[in-house]
Amino acid sequence: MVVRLEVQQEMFEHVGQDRKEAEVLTRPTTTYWQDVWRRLKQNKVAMASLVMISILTVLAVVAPYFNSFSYSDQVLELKNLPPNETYWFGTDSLGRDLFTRIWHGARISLQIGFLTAFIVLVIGVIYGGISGLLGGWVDEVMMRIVEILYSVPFLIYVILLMVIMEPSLKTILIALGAVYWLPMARLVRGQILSLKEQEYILAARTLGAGNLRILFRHLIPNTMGPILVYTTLAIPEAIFTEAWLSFLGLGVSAPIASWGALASDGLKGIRAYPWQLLFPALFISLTILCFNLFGDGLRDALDPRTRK
Amino acid sequence: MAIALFFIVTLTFFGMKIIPGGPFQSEKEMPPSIKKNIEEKYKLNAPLSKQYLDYLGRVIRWEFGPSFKFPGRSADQMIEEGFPVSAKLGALTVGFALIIGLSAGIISALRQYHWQDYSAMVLATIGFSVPSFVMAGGLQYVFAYKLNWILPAMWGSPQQAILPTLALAGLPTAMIARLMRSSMLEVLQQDYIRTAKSKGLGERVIIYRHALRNAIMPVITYLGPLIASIFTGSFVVEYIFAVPGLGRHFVTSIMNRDYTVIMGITVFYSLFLMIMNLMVDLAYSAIDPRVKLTGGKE
Repeated sequence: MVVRLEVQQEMFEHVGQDRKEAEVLTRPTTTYWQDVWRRLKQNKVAMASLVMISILTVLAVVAPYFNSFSYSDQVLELKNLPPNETYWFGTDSLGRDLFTRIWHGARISLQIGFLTAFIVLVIGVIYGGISGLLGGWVDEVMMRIVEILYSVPFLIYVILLMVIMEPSLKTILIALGAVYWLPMARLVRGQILSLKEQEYILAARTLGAGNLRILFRHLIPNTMGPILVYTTLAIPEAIFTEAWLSFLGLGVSAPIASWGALASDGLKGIRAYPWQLLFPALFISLTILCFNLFGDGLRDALDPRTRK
Repeated sequence: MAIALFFIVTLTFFGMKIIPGGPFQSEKEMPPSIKKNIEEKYKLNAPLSKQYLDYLGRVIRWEFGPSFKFPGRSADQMIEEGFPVSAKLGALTVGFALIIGLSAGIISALRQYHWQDYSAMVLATIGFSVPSFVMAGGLQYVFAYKLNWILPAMWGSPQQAILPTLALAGLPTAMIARLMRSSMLEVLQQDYIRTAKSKGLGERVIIYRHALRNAIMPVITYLGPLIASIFTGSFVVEYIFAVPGLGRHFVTSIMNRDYTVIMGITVFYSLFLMIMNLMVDLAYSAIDPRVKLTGGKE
């Protein structure tokens, strides 16, 4: 059976919505970064890690003043004490207060983490950005250099640099920075290669924007997501590598000690004084764990595919 | 690869030359005549350019020269003795990491958001964050000193390989488990898996025949860096457990500023790792027919 429907003017009526109003946004707009932040806030693990990182950073600044011991004062009569009321984390093999030393170590280790990440960010973004944007033979030459450096095993290269240079905070930063910018440069270049063909770049060019402006105002803000994730994950990596270098005796020199150096000292007396390894090891692992979890959370928040 | 290797040899050589202090430096002032004799013996008095060319020539002939610190021993000897031990330890670690890491990754992907998934991932994240020397120290403390099950150090019996293997395998196992889980989850959502399900294939066949083959690819790409990280991790672990491998020679040579040995082992390691990476690339194209090894751009 066929029903014939006659469409007539009377069948329609105005529901009372103006054409103008239909275009008005009734909800506040959220920018990309607000969206990211909202998603990040929902991730409890990532937020807990962020809080933990903040606490550790604040403690690294203030905790050495909690008691009256300095990190370098040796009291040989009081060596290798287990944790007690005066020496909260015990003392080391030279009678130095482990609590104070650990928080001084935190300063070194966190400094290394943050500064390395910053160096990597600056060098990697500029190098990768230039290479990707200019393209052609410049890109060819710049990426060949990266490729050659890339095929040298990372840690061997760091060790070599550390053996060559006198160990200090500055040289550790140079050695770590010299290595970790490579993946960053590759990442940024790859992103920029795909972005620079897009219409809005063409539009910017048409409006007369120069290379520098295009790179820093248009391209880099749009690659910020992956860059940020890599930077966050470079921090634990740097702390990890530094701990490892200190263990080989290639870290900062005594009496200052990073967490890695403290752990290495602790390992020597592990049989009788396990707390000397336990505390530095605990803090290294906790810090690396928090940065890794936060980095993972950030990646999930930045990736729209995981959006629910 | 040849360029990279040349770069390493050059960097190591000139690096070693600009370091202040050397293996023959001691608190006691050395009489000039003895110093001269020593320098002559190791050809340290020749002009730098000649020393460099000499060294390049020797590297090509696979001779890394005598140790400065231990008379009568050479870097080649140390590599020859140390490498089999390190390789054995490395192979054990890779095997362990692959077996445990892959199964943990697959299980947690299949039981996503169940307790198996959560516990595997918590363990993996912890394994990911604990440096190998902390792991080594901890294992030594618990199993050797507290429980007295195993001797704390030395190398020889299979029992003594347990602790170093565990200490070394922590990080790679965690890495593999995480990688495997995420790639398995991604593969399981794809259309061809749904097709396989809808045509009535059993779960076992789907997972092992269809999903695994694609999901394992990221793990294979990771094998190159994995081997590298095991080798570098082995420096510390071998040192702690007194395993007479290449890593321990490397660490002692760094501490002693024993140039020829540092240079020799560095070049050896780099070459080894490059070959490993090449093999991983080849394996990749063998397993995944979509990947073709063609030079240049398409």
